[in-house]
Amino acid sequence: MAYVAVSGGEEAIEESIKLLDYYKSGTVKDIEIEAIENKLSLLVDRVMSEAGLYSKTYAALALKQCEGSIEEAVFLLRAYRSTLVRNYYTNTVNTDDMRVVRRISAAFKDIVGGQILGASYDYTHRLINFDIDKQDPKELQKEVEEKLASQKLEEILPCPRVSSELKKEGLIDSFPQNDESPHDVTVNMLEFPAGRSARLQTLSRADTGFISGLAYSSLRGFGQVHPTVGELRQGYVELYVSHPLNEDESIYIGEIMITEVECFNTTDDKDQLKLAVGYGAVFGRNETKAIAMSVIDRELENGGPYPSQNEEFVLTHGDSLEMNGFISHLKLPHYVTFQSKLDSVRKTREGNQ
Amino acid sequence: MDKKLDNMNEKLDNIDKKQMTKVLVRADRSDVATLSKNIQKSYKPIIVKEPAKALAMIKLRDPVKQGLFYLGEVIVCEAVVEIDGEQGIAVIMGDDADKVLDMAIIDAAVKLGVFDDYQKLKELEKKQNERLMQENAMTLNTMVNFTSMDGEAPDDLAANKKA
Amino acid sequence: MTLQLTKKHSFDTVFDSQKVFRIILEAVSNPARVLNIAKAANKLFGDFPEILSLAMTLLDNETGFYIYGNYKNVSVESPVDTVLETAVEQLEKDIASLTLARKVEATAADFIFVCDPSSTKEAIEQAKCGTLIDPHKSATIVIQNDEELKCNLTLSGPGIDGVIKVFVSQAVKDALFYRDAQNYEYPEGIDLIFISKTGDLFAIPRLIKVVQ
Repeated sequence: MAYVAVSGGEEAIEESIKLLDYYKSGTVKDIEIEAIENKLSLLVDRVMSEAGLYSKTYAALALKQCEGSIEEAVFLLRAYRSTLVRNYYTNTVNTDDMRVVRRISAAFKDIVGGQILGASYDYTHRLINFDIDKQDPKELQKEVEEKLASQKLEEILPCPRVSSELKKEGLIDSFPQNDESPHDVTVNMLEFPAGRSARLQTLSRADTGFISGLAYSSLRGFGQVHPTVGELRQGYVELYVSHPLNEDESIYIGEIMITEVECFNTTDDKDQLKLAVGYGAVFGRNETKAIAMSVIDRELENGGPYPSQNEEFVLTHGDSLEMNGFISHLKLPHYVTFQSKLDSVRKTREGNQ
Repeated sequence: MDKKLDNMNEKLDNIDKKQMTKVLVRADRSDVATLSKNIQKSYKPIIVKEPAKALAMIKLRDPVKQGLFYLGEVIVCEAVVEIDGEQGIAVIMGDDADKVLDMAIIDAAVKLGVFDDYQKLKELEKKQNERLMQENAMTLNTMVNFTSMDGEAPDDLAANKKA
Repeated sequence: MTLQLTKKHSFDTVFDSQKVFRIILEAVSNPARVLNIAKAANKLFGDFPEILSLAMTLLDNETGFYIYGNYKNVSVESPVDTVLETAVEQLEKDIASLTLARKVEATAADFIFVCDPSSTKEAIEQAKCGTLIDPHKSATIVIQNDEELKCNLTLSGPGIDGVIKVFVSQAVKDALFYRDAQNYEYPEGIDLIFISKTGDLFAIPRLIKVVQ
C-alpha cells in the first residue's frame, strides 16, 4: 500500500472543527463538569474503566468536550495520560479491606456479613420518569445530608469473602501468595500465551460492550461456563505509596471505587471434585462488566474452540481505543488502494467479454 | 535538637505517617491550608519540586490465584519542599496543586520535629470517621433481612447472618 | 501559595531537560565532540550541578543509579548529628528526591556517576554490560573529569569519519583503556560520558575504539 501526500484540506478541516460548535449550540443551557461528575457518574465510571485512568473530574471533562462520546473521551484521556510521568506504584491493594457499599451473592442466601444491596438500579421498576426535570438539586443535597446526619454511627467492618468458606472446605482451590512482578500491557507488548496478570489487566480496561457480548455468547452456549455469581462486592479501596524519601514509610494518596466479582463454576472434566473461580475487577460501578470479565476469565482459563475461549481473539480485540481507532481509520483516504481494486475488477470484466 | 526529637516521638506515638496523610487527604483544602500557614509563620519553606501532575499505577492482588496485576493508573499531584535542610514530600490523588504543596510543607515540618497541631488532626480524623460511619449506616439499611414465606429459612453456609 | 515561596532551582523539568537531552544526543552521535551544558546546570544547586542536570534529564523512578565518590566513614563513637554529610551524599539525596531514581548496587545500576577519578577502574569493572538479547540493559557511566589535557589519542568507530585525533586527560585515556580491557562481546558494552565542572561534555559510546 503506497502513501501519496496530498494537500488542500486545511481550510475544510478548520471549518469542520468549528462546525462542532453547531452541534453544541442548540440550547443556552450548559452542563458543568461538576454536574457530569456527580449526576452521570456511571457514565464517568465507564469512561475511566475503558481509559484505564482513574480521574472522575477529567473523565467528566472529556465527556463534556466531545458531546458525551465514550470513544472520544477515552481517546482524550489516554492521550493526556501519555504526557504524564508514572512516578509511583501503589502498595498492593487487597480487596479484603474494601469499605463495602454493595455486596451480594447469587450462590448463597445467608453469607457472613449479609447481603447488602447498596444503591443499584437492579431493583427499580424501570418506569421512565417524565417529571425528572422538576427535581430540585439543592433540595436533593439537603435531604441527603439530613438523612446522613440522622444516622446512628455504624462501625465499618470488612466483609469476609464468600469464597473463603468454600476454600476451607476444599471445594475451591487455595493458592499461595504470588508476588511475581505483573506484566504491564501499557509498557510491554502483549505476547501469547499471555500470563494471568496481562489477561486481567487487558480485560479490566477493555470495551464494556465487547466483553459483555463475549460473556453473553458464552452463557448462551458458545462456551463451557455455567457460572453463578459467588460474590459481587463494590466499594472503596485505599491506595498507599512508599514515601519517596523513606521506603519504610507508606503514605495514603486517596481511595478509589471498584467493583469486584468472583464467579463460581462447575467443571465438566475430571476435576468434578472442585469448583473453579473466575475473577473480574473494574474501576467504578461497572457491575455488568465485572461479571462479564469473571466469565471470560474462566473461559480463557479453560480454553476451547469458541471465540470467548480464544485468548488472542479476546485480548487483542477488546481495547476501546484500538478498536474504535482502527474502524475509524477506514474513513481516511484509501484512494490508491481502492483504485487498484477497481482496476483489477475492471480487468476481470474486460477479460470475460 | 534532642528536645525536638523527644517531642516528635511522643506525639508520633499517637499518629503515624499513614494515618496522618489519610486525615490530610480527606480534609478540606482550607483546613490543610490553615495547618500549613501556621508552620509558615515561623519557617520559610523552599520549593524543590513544584506541584505537578503524575500517575500512580495501581497494583491489585487477584484473590483467586493470589497473583498481582495492574488495575490501571490514577492521576496524582506531587510536590517537594525543603525547610531548614529537611525535605518534605506529598502525593495525593487529583490535581489540587495548592493542597499538595501545603501537605508537603506539613511533611517537612514533621520531619523537622516542629509540627505540633496533632490535636487538630485528631479532631479532623474524628469528624471524618463519623461521616464514614454515618454513610456505612445508610449502606447497612439496605441489608436484606430474610424471612421465609413458609416456616424456618434453611441455613446455607455456616452462617451468622450479621457479624 | 506557590507565588510566595522561593524555588530552590529554576531548572525546568520539561524544557531544560529537553535541551540537555538534545546536547547529550549530539554528543553521543558525534563521539569526542565537546559540547556544553553549563546554561542548564547553572539553574541547579549543590556541589555537582552539572551531574544533577544530567540526572534530571536521564533518570526517573524506573532507573537505578550509583555514585562513586567521597562518602563519610561513619564511626561508632561520633554522635549522628555532629557528622556533616559529604557533598556526594547530598548529591545522592538530591538525585533521589528530584528524579525518584533509586540508589542500587553498582553492578545493577543503569547510571553510574564517578565523582572521584580514582574509582574509574572499579566503576568500569563493576558496571553491567547488558546481554546479547538486551544490550541496552547496560550501564552508562558519567565520569567527572577536570584534569589537565596531556594525552594524544586516535579514535575510530560509528559516528567518526575514518579516524579522529583527540587531546585528552590521563583520566580519559585510562577510562578507555579499562573499558577496552573488559573485552565486551558486541553488542554488549558500556557507554561513557565525560563532564567537567565548567559543563563541558563529550561522549565515547561503546563501539568507539582507541586506535594504536
